[in-house]
Amino acid sequence: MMSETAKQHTRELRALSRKLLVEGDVDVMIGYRDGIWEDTTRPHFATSPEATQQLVWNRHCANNLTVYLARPEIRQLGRPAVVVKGCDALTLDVLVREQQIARDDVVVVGVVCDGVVDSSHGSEGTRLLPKCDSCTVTTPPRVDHLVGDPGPARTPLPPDRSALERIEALTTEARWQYWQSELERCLKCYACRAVCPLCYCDRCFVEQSRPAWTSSSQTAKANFVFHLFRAFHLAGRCVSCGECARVCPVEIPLDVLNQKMAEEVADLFGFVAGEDPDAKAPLVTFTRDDPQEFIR
Amino acid sequence: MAELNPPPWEPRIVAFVCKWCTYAGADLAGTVRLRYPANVRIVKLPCSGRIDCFFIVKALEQGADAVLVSGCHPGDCHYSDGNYHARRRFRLFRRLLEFLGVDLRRVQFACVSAAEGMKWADLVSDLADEVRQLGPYREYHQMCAGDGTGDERDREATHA
Repeated sequence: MMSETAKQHTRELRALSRKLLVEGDVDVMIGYRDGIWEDTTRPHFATSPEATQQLVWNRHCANNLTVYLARPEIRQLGRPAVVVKGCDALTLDVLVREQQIARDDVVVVGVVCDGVVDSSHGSEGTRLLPKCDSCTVTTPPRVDHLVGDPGPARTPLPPDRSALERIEALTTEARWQYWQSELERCLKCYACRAVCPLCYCDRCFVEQSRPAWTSSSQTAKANFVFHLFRAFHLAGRCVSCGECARVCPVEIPLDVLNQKMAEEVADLFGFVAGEDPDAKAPLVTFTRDDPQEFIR
Repeated sequence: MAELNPPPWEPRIVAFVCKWCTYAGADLAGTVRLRYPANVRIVKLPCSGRIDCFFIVKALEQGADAVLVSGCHPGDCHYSDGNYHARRRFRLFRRLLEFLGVDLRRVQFACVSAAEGMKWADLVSDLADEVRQLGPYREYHQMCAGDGTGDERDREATHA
């Protein structure tokens, strides 16, 4: 059942998109449409005013659509507008900082969001995604158009650290065993990579052959190396949109790995990805007196 | 006929070093004829900033029991700030390895200048002793075993 707010947001979104396309501000509107199954959505690329009528907004708009902005096949469609939730909007800052998109080349349409339903609990589920309970960006920042009324900010719960704490409490050997058994399930489907707006490399290290850092086969070693470097390459960049963990078919807690890295980056370098678009990324800068307690 | 006993197990340590400081320091250790264990295999790179975290993992995969990364002291980098970048990267990388259950006693970092031949000899001696105590890095090597990429054969060939 679609709530009144969702219906209202859908109407506003369609009208705004139509206007943007008719007036020639943009060539393609990247938004959500109803999915194949009930209570799901899928990405929609509206290139004509008529196509905007299929756009929807509801509590199942999980995808982070900014993933499409840097893709060559989407760029071919012309100047894009993109629908973002607050969490998705943070990714834009990173993409701009890393020069994957120019902020002026994209029209950002933010929608005030009160949470996305966690569909892993079946279509009747009303539980929100884990990230939504601790959301601090219900109103997306730095957008060109805002759909919905910001209203009073909801009080976010503190981030859920239970999984992290459980793993941190283990001994080194037990942590090794834990991750070996988690990563053993990896199918190398690369859904985590495909869905991540910040995994935009033309050629991922997994597919590099000169030198071949790892193999693309589904073995304990190759799975370990893939997930080790997936997490490391996202460290200080990941804005914790949680898409990787949501799409993982074998439920590897990728979000916990990312959360760990985000906490370490905050601890070591005082940096939070997506917080300040003008702050320098932690691994492209340094201070002369960075601590070096680990160096002999 | 003398009994042929296999030699006792010795740790294999791969050291990734910067050519301007640590490599020159190791060279100095040799020039002044300091003795240090032969457990270390040195890989010379232009700068600690060039030492990719992939190298560390690759070395462990190929049978290293420990990895040592060593470059210039802060302020001494030939390229002015390569070691500062490396320091940040490795600080973070260690935390990730730790979280995944890698034994950090087996991934070590140091600063050894071109004048510190003695420090290099002591460092390698200490590290070799430490790793000898720890034993072979079985966990990691078992994970890598038998995945059909040829690394296994490489390892056997080098052990023989």
